[in-house]
Amino acid sequence: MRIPPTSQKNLKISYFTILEIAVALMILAILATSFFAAVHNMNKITKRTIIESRAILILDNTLERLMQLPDRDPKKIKLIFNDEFSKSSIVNKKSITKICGIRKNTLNISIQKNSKTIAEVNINL
Amino acid sequence: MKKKLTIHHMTLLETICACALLVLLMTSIIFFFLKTTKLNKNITQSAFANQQILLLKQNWRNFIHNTPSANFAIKDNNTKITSGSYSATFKDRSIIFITKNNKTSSLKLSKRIRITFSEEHVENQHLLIMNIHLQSSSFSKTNEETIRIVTCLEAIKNSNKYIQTQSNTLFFSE
Repeated sequence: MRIPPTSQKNLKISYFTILEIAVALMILAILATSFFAAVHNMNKITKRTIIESRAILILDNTLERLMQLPDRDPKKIKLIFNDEFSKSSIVNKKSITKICGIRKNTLNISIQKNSKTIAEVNINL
Repeated sequence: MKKKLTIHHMTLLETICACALLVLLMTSIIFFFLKTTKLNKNITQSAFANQQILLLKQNWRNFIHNTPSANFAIKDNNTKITSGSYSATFKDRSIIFITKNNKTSSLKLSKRIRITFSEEHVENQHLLIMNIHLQSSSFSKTNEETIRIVTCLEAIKNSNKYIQTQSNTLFFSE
């Protein structure tokens, strides 16, 4: 087919320059990185939520057992808390620690993850 | 002067580079898609399991505290606990509580949950425990986690001392 001379003159094939390709790849890389970070974060939050719910169950079991005690003996409360913690499913996790301490006539028992409290109970002595 | 129309053919090196990039892109898209789908499934399953654990805890404690007799017997490979005409049985992915006047309540559980019962005597306390065996699957392996729901036989007498405040903070007061 013959192309008219006027349109032949305007016809121009454009190629992507190396700079354009580099910019496109960079945008793609940024998008992929942020998506990966979001997925990783979501995974972390899920694990944290599961651990938090298990920690609350430990404290709930401890409270259930404390109901039977006639008095609030801190030693007995600590023993019960330690027993419940040692029999739980999160005991083998390295980042999880249990804290038991008396502050201003109140016994505080708490479970921490990476030194951050995830569940706690305050018992008036 | 006429401008000559030319078609640019890619060189072999350019084609190889383009193919390699395409493969890399497709692989990462498929990988992210699978990972997100799996993660989404895990989140939904764990939320569902948490809801079922809460429901089981409530029903289990109500069952034990409403049973008049303190003599419990664990039978059938630790899947049944009875006290007189009262009983709790785990059978065919369901837990069935039979209480006063043969009143029956049944909870259908997820296929990842298995339940056993046990009894403990610790520090002069008589404990009845519901062990929830929860299966969770990660990318390549299957784990089983055991969650304890403890019920103390005498606990109900002092239950008015127990006040729950926030979701993560519990207070035990007069």
